[in-house]
Amino acid sequence: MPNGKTVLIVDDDTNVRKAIRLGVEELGWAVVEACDGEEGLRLLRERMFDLVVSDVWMPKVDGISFLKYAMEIRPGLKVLSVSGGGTAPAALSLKMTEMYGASDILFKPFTPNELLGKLSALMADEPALD
Amino acid sequence: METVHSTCDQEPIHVPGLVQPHGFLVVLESKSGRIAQVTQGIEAVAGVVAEDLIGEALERVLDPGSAQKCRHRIARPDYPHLIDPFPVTSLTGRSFSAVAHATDQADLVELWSDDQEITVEGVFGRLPFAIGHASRAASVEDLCERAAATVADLTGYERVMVYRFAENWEGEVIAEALSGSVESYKGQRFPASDIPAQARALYGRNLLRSIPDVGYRPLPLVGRSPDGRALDMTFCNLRSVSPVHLEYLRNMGVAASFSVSLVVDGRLWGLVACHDRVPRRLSLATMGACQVYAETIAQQVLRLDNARRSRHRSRTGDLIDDISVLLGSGRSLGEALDYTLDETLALFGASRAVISLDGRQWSVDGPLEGAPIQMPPHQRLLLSERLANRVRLPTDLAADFVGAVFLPLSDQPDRDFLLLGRPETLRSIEWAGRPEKQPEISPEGVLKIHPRTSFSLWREEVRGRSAAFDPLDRETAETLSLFLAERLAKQRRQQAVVALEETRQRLRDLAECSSDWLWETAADGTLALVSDRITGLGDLRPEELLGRKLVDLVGGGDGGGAPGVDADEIASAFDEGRAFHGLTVSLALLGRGQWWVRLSGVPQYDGRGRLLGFRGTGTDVTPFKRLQEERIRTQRLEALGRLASGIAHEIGNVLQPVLTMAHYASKRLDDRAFLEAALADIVEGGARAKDIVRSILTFARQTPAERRPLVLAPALARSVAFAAKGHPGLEIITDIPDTAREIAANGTELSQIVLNLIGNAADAMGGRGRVFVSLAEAPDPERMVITIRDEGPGMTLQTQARAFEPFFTTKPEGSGTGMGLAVVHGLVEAWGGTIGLESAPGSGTKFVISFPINNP
Repeated sequence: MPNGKTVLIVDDDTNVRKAIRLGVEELGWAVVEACDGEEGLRLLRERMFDLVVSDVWMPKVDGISFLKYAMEIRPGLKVLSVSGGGTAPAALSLKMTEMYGASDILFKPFTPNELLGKLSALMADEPALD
Repeated sequence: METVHSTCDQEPIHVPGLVQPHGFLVVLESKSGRIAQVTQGIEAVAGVVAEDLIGEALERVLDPGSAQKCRHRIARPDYPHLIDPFPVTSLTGRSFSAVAHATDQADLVELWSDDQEITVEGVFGRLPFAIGHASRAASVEDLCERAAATVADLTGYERVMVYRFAENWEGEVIAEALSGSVESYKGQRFPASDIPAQARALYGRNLLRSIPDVGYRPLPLVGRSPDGRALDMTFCNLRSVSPVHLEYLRNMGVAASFSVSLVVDGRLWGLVACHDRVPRRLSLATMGACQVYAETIAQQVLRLDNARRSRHRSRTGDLIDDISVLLGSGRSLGEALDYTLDETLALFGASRAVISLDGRQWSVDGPLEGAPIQMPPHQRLLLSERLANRVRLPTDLAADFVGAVFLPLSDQPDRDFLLLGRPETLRSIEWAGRPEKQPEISPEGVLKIHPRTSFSLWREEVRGRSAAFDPLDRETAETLSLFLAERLAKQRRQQAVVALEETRQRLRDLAECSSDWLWETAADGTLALVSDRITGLGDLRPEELLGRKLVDLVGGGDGGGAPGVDADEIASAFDEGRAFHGLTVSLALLGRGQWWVRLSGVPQYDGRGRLLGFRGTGTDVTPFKRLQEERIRTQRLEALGRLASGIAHEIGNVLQPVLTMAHYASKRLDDRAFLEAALADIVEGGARAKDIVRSILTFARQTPAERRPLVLAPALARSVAFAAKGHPGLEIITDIPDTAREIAANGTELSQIVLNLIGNAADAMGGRGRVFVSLAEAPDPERMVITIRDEGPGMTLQTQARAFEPFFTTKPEGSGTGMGLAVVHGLVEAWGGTIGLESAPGSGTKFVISFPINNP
């Protein structure tokens, strides 16, 4: 893997997964996809990820529950929450980061540059896992 | 007894055909003046036997001058009962006092032997003093005592009695002048049968009756009366009296009898009766003087009686004045009677009174303690010496109301009356002999009349009676009763008017205080009365609505709005004349807009069950309705907001490939495969976005609740799909058959209903779980049924009962408005549908909504 970083994408929407994958791959990182929160949690238990990008609204396990369980499995894990909800963006952002431990939040629809900026910023202060 | 009375009453005493022997009677045929009848034995004065005088002129008995005087007197229009004696001389030279009078039947000349030396001056000379005294008498008793003495003086009879007839014709000796050892009858009673009816009639016409010698032998008349009928001797003072009467007098030990009648105001009031134990003849002049005197006495009786009446009437008038003054000062009739009771009692010689008014009975010392007095329902004015004969009295009153005056005070005399009681008067009546006659059957089988033989004093004790009432008492009672009844009626009319006015004022006050307005319609439903409070509705004036039909104002109108679900109910209540309560309709009020009004009304019927109209109240519920509409709008916005979240998520998702793929496509223009895939993603995202936008527009269309035929199945499916977007945690399982059936509804509202119910299901199940939505035909083919069921915790009965109440919620504070189910309920009902709820704790909740299908 080019930089040795691996990102887990958890989203029920193929288009969104695809958009995120394109951005992550542009940075040269590896991608693993999960199409719902349940699968995402299973993958988290199985292996290590440098970053998780997860939807807030998902079937089976919703984004907030996913975040909570993810933090239990991997404390300190970096998570970029992706939200498409109608709630006020600033409030949701605060809620996701302060209450549930998300590292940052990205609102849909987003441009590739917005995604790249968030991903780069999150990974800049972390050494890559080998 | 009855036989005796009637037999005696029928004795023809005025045509005895006999005369007394102390004079002679000559009966002349009126036209010719010839002698028709003459007393047997007249030859002693005429010198010719009676038979030979028949058909002859009067000159065959009297000298020509005397005969001429007789004819003069007969020719004079006269009062035959007035004695006017004149001296005559017979052909044989005997002097007589004569009286003559004419009747329809004949002319009668009586010749009285003038053997007593009583001059006219001697007799009449005493009258001025006697008459002067009589006219100054202060009482009837005083007058009568004087009269007895005067007549005794004039006649020389040893017992002179003033005998007064009672109402029932019993006689009582009220005054007496006696000389010598003669027995007194004063205070004694004589039964009515002692002086039978025809005798009383005769006493009333001819005031004098003289029997100088009870033991006389009557003389028959010779000849025939001019018309052949028995000679009417009413005014003949020589008339022979009934043998029964003679026997009666003999039984009393009377040898001579003379009486003069006291006729007061046309009625035989009494007699001055003179008895002597030896025969005693009176001259015609003396009899005439007695007659004049008796007429004076009668006039004085009338004067005194009138004075007594006048005093009594004046006292009655005073009482009426006093009562009037009290009534005029605002006292009730009962109070006025209480205050004047002493006067009233005195007026009737009564000792106690019971007043009964308006169903309350009291006496002067307070309410009656015992049972009330029950008067017969239609009892008229009554004066009774023995009330117990008429009315059963409570025992505590019996002693005070032995006799009573009953004054009815209204046309309900058993409720409104005045009863004035007189106590028992223990009386002993002293009868001059036991008042009975024994009939005797003669050997020939003829009923023969005998007078009673015993005049020894017989005392009758009278018990259980009060003092007797007289005609004046009756007159007073009538006057007072009429007056009181009239005043009571007037007072009640006034009270009724006051009560009516109070009721009106009370109703006016209530109408004024009420926030409701009052209305009345005529039988045809047109408004006949509308209270002022209606001005709350757009400053409408009551008169603007008069004459309009209330039901025509419901719904429709210029506003064109919905009439409200109760409109049909009101219309049928009016049609069927039924009461209705709390029905809410919208009224289109004459260009003042649409007002929501809650109406209640009751029908008015006349006595024959015909509808007269309706009256009722109206309450302006427009503000409430507007608030409700506001809530529905708010609800709609909340639902939209929730939906918008879902929509935003959707749009975000579909826009995402557009942004991403366009970005990378521009960077990888040489990678044809990538470009094609990217463009495909972009096109697909755009198409999905377009669908979503169209859906939002469909849902969010802000049209009023317009009802149109709506094909229910696809509309329901669409609504469910929208709802599903807001609740990604729900698994919504639908069973919606493909049917083209329509209901009259509104798609937006349907969505609102479905959103609310599914939203509630989601909330109940914590956002995740299964919801079943089905559409089916109801058992009733005219209806369709939507069922929405969840698998949540269900509701308790208490919660179910309140579930549709506005603002009722089981959700944590801030999470729900409590309006959801209320809005659903209102919408469903507005469509003519019904919504039901089945639930139990632990069993989930099922809503069943039934709509009538739209029949074009």
